[in-house]
Amino acid sequence: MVPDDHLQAQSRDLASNCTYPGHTFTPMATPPESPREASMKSRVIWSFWIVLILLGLPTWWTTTSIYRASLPTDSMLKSHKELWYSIPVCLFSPSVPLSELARLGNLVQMYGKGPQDLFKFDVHAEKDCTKFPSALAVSMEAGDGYSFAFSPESGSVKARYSSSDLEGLPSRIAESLQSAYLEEHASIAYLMAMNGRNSDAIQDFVKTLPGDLMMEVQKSANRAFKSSSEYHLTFSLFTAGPAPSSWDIQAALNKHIQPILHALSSTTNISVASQIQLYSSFSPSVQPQQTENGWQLRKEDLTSFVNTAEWPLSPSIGTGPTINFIAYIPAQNYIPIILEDSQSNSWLVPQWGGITILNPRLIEREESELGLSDLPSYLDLEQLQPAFENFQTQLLQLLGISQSSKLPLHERLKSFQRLSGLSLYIRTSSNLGSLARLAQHLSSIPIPRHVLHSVEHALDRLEDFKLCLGKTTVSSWPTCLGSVREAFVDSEKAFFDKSMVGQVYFPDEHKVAVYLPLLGPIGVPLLVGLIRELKTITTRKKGA
Amino acid sequence: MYFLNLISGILPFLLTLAFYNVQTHAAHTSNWAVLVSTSRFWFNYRHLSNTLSLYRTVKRLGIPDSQILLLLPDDMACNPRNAFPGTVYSNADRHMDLYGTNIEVDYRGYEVTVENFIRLLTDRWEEGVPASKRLLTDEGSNILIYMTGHGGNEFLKFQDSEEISSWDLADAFSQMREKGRYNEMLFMIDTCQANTLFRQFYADGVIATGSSEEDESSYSHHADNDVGVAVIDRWTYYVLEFLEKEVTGLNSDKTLGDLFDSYDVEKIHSRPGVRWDLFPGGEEAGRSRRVVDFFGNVQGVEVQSGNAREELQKDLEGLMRLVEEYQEFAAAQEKNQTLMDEVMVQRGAGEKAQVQVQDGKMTSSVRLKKDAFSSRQVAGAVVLAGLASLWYFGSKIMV
Repeated sequence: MVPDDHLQAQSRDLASNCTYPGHTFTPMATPPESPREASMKSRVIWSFWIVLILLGLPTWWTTTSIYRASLPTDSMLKSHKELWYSIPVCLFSPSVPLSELARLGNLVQMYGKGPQDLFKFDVHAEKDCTKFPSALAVSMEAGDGYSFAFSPESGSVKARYSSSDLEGLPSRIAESLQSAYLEEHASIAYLMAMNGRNSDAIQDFVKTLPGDLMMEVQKSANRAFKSSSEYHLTFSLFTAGPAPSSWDIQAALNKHIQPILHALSSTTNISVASQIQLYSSFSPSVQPQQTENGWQLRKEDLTSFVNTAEWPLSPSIGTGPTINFIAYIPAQNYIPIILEDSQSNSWLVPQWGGITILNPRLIEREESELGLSDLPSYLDLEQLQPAFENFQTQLLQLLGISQSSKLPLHERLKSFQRLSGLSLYIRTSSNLGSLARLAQHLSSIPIPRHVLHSVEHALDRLEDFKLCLGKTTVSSWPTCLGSVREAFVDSEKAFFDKSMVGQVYFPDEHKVAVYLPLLGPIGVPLLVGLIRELKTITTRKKGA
Repeated sequence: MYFLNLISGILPFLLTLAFYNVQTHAAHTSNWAVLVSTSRFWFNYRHLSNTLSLYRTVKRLGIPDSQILLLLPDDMACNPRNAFPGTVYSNADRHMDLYGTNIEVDYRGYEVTVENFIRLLTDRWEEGVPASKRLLTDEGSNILIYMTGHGGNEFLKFQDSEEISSWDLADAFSQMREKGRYNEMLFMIDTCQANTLFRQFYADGVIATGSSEEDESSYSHHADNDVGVAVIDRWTYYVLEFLEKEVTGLNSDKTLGDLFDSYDVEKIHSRPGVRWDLFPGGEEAGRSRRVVDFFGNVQGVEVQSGNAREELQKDLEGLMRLVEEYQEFAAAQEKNQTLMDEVMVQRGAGEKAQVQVQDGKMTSSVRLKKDAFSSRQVAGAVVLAGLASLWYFGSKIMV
């Protein structure tokens, strides 16, 4: 039969030892590759590897590496230096010639340097001190005896001297200046020390200060808000019942609060909002005690008085902190509520705001024989006055304006301006230092380019501030403050940038798991092909 | 290094101030709580009820909603499988409904992710994120962080789809420390192998406690037959029992040492752990901290004892001068405003010309956009041609 013969013939060809039945096969040698096939194979393998190395590796590297702009970490860490400013003082006199005044000014400056060179006054003699609004204006007049008096209205000083005692004059003026500005210098020392700039000079200086002054400074620092470039004030009227439902807030603000805000407009931006909520009761845990002339709140009740669950009190307005001022009108059967030991019925919550309880006069109903009375439905300016006077003092305390009686209000506002500039400088440099340390420590966080720009801008502005401090009788403090506020805003923006969230950390096992499909099914054939290719090359070389 | 210098520099100053009887430790001014549950699905009911029980405790002790961040990834109260709709119970006797009517959940559902949690801790948000979703703490804030869910060796699973590892938490806490975002922190975690999650912490000021050791599971306490699932976990149950019975109000003196001593391994069925070494003062200082320092709300209060008018008396002249200045300023502004109004009326005629100029600008900007479009077309065509030629010539090579 033809197929059988054909088969047998083939099997004889293919397997030379093939005999039926019980035949054994010896493996046949694979047919040799044609040269074209061999070169095709080597070209395929080499092209795979070339694409892998030239195209694949760079693509993988660029797509998995994190963009980190190189921050100027050295200058960021070094911006942490100690800074001390000198208080500008301007001497003028109607009678004394300018050269004499200048000499007096130099002597006062020399005597005014406190121990360790920290107390500094920058005393200049000018014809007209109104050109330097940031400086303390001191007018020198001849008289009998020495006196150094602040004018409470304008904040300037009238100094009298007797012509017989001219040698002692500079040191006396220096002493008066030192004692007037002692609190400001103590605040600066406290601020520096609390923020890590604690040289021996500062420590020695603090040792010379009286203990109760330092306590006062510390209490004020814990009570006031951290300095910021803007604040928001919220005035709220919370009524326990349906009345009163409106108040003359605009007039009250214009009379009590706006003047202060206007005076502070060169230091910081403050915006004001107000709200009213009716049927607002205080927290259920607060139990006023009945006494003979009304109801009384104990001190323990005050901590939980604010019913934050039901009172709308935390708006997210802008970047600065919100200071809340609450005027609370109790329910009619609770009137009057008084506090245990407070004449003004108000209290202050540090770094939060202030609360006053208003007990308005009840209006008698006209037709009623029982003498029933109602709460007024509108609170006019006169009824709001006690509350807003409280708010006024509380606002000054919460901003950090000192309460000392040695300086008039204008001067205290100026020292607040200087202190807030310094405090913003410290906060900015700590932000930059923290960012630098973070960038060095966490190497897996991306740092985009706009963070670098913000950091550079902030560093430039800090330099401007430092230069400006050296010339504060020529330029004015508000300009210096402007640059440090910009620096602060930039540093906050840089530190809290939203793209600097660290990538989720991958332990090594996770990394292997991600790359396993590449290493296994793809990597093995490629490697084996490469090895075989190299082997054929070496055998060919040996053969050739 | 920085902290070493800080400490060595500040120590003499502190001693000096101590000489003058002044308190020097940073004042603890506020309390915040971050309560996170990380699991979804009905059978993880107990994780949500753990978190809600802590929420109720913290509210009972005074922390306001604005200072609590509650992260719940699933809604058990309105789950169709809930036989008691609108409620979440942590006890089979169903005495107290934890969900209630006065609850504020800040992150719900799919908003509870690892990224959002890390952003919350480090406060790195885009603009426009409301304050109720942010942790607005400062140097004086004590933070309580409670996490519960399913976890393992140095990781915690979020919503069955991603994980947070102990390194992420450690880095996030160190960033918070750098920026001064907390005074002291209490970290509590109730998952399987919970103690491994705080192994990598290195920021100071943190006390960490977990429910079970490595290779140990944490167990649920009991199930409710009508709800159908386990309603509370063991460790959280015994912690809550301590808080309910011993810490009844803000004036409670119970300390963290008392809380951690109340752990009973027989009852909890796993070995809870505590980490003290990161806390300044170590175990001694940590043990003496009161429970309400972390769970309750501190609000320092200063009563204004005097009459405000008397206090303002000394500044009266200064204030009157300020009032005068402000009134002058306000009057000048009003005059300017009327002048401006007049000028605007006069300018009404010239406004048409302005609009035309604007139109010209707009057309030129549109033209620019068109140019950009055509250049992109050209680039696209070049790429396509390149690929096509590659394909064509590549097949030629093969042949």
